[in-house]
Amino acid sequence: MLKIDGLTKYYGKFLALDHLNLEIEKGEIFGFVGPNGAGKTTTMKIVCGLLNPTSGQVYINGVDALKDAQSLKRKIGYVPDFFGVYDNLKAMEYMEFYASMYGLEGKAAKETCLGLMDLVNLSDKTDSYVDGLSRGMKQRLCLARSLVHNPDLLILDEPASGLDPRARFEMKEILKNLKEMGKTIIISSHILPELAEMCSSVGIMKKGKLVLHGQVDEILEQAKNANPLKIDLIDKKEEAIMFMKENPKVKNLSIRDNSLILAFDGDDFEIYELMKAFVERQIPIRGIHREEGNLETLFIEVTAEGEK
Amino acid sequence: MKINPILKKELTIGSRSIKMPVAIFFYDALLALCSFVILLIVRAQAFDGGNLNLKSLAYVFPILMCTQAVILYIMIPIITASSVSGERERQTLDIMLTTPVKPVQIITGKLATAIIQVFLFVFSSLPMISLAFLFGGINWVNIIYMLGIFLVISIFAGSIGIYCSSVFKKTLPAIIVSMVIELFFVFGTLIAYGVSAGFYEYYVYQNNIEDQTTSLVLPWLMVANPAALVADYLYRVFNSEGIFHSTASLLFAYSSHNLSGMEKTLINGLNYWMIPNILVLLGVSMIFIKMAANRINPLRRKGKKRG
Repeated sequence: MLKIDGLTKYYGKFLALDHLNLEIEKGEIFGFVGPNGAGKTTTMKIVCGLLNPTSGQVYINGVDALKDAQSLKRKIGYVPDFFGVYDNLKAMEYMEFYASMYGLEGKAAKETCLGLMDLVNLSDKTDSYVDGLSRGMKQRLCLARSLVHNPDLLILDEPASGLDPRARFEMKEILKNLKEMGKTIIISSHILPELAEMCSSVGIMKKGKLVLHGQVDEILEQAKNANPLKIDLIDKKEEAIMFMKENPKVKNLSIRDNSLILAFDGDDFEIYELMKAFVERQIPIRGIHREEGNLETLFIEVTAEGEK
Repeated sequence: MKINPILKKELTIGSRSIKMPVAIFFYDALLALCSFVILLIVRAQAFDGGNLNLKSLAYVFPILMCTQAVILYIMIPIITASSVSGERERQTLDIMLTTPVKPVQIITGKLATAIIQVFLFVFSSLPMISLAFLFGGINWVNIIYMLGIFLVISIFAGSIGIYCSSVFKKTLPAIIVSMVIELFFVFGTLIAYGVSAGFYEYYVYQNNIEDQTTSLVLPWLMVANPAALVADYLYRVFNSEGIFHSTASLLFAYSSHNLSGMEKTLINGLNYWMIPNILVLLGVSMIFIKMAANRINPLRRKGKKRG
C-alpha cells in the first residue's frame, strides 16, 4: 500500500528525516511513535503532498506519490494535529464543502456526508455550528471530513491529542470500525499504550530515523525482554548477589528488600536456565518473573538511548 | 454549472456575518453625504443670486465614481489580505491543499469572493449614482462602463491583496504591504511619468529638439495605473476624447511644429488609452494571481522546520 524509500528531508541544515525506509501493507493500522521533532509530521506531510522531500521516494499502490501528487490526493485522507474548522459553518455544511472539493455535490454529497456523520456519532449535530462542538466532536468531524472521498489511506496526526478519556475511547472505536472497513491507517500519537491497542504495527522514530519497527506483538515481546527481571529470594541473599554478578547476561543489579532487580539480556529459555542454576546452587527462591512490558517503557528506553 | 467550492463556502460564511451589512450601511452613508453636499452647493448658488447651474448636478456622477473607486481601492486589500493568511491562521490551508483543488482555484475562488462582496457595495450605491440621471447628461452606458472599470480595479487590487496574503502569515502586514504596492501603481507611476516628462522637456528645451515622439511615449509609463483608467474615462464622459489624447493634442495645437507621421500615430494611440490600460492591469493581476498560487503550492515552497 505505502512504500517509503530512503526519504530524507533537510530544513536548512537541520536533518528532519534521515533516509527513512518503511512499508505498510493494505488494511494495516500503523502507529507512528516518537518524541517531538522526530520527523513524524514531516513524514506524514510528505506522503500527503504537503512537503517536498530533499531526496527519496514515496509510492502509494505502486504510484510515485511525489511525481503524481495530484491524482493521489483522491486516495489519501489527512487529519492534521489541529482541527482546521470554520466557526461560521454548520457541521453538515463543513462536510459538504469538503465533499464539493472532491467533486461530490447535491444529493450524493448529502447522503455521503450524513453516512459519515453517523459513522463518527455526530448524526444529531448536522445543524450545529462547528464553533459549538466540543473538542472531541470537532476531532471526530475532522475524521469524517477526511473520509468524504472514501480514501484508501488515512493519515491521522495525533488524533487523540487533547481529548478526554471518553472522547479518546470513542475515537478508538471509530478507528476500529475503519479498520474493519479495510482502510489503511497511519496514526501518530504520544499516547503509546493506546497505540498498542489500536495498531497492528508500530514504528518508533528518533531524530528522523525509524529506530524500531514491527508488528505490535513482536515489539511488545521486545518490550517485555527490555523490562527488569525480579528474583524473590527466601534466603542466601549475599550468595545470590555474587552469583548474579558472575552472570554475563546480567547488565545491572539492584536490591529491593528480599528481591534482586536486574536487567537481564535473555529470553524466556534463558530465564528457565537461570532458575535451574539457582536450584542447583541451592539458593532458595520464591520465584522469578519479568515486570509487564508495555510500549511506553520501550519507547522511553529506545528514544532515550544516547541522550544525556 | 459547478461553482468554485471556495467561493460557495466564503459566500455562506460572509452572509452570516453582521460586518457586511454594517459596512454597506457606512459605505452608502458616505456616498449619500457626498451627494448631499453637491446638492447643497448647487442650492447655495441659486440663493446667492448666482445662476443656478443645473449642469453641475451631473458632476454627482464623476464625484461619486471617484469616491467609490478610492474606497474600493482601499477596501479590497482589507477584504483579500485575510483570505489566505486567514486560512493559515485557522490552519485550514493545509487541509485544502490535500484535496484535488489546485492552488490557483483556491486563489481565484478567494478573488471571486472579494469581487462579489465589493460589487454588493457598488450595486447598493446605484440609486445614488442614478441621481445624476434626474438632471441629464448621464445614461445607462456610463453606468455599465463604470461597473466595468470597477471590475478591473477590483481584480487588480484584489490580486495584489491575495498575493500579499499568500506571502505574509498575518493579516495586518498583508494589508499594509498590499496598500503600499497599490499606492506605488497609482503614485509611483505618476511620479515616474512626471519626473521623466520634466527631464525630457528640459532636455528638449536645452537641445532645441523638434521631434516630440518621446514625450508622446512617456504617458504610457502610467499604463499600469488604475487611477489613469478612471481619469481617462471620466474625462470622456464630458468630452469627446480621453484625457491623455486631449492633453497631447493641446500640447501641439499651439505649436508651430509640424507633426510627423509617427507623432500623429502616437497621439491617435492615446485616444485608445483605456484598452491597453485595462489589458495591462488585467495582465499584472494575472501575474499576481499566478505568484500567489505558486506561494501556496506546498510542492513549490521552501520547507520550514516542523516536528
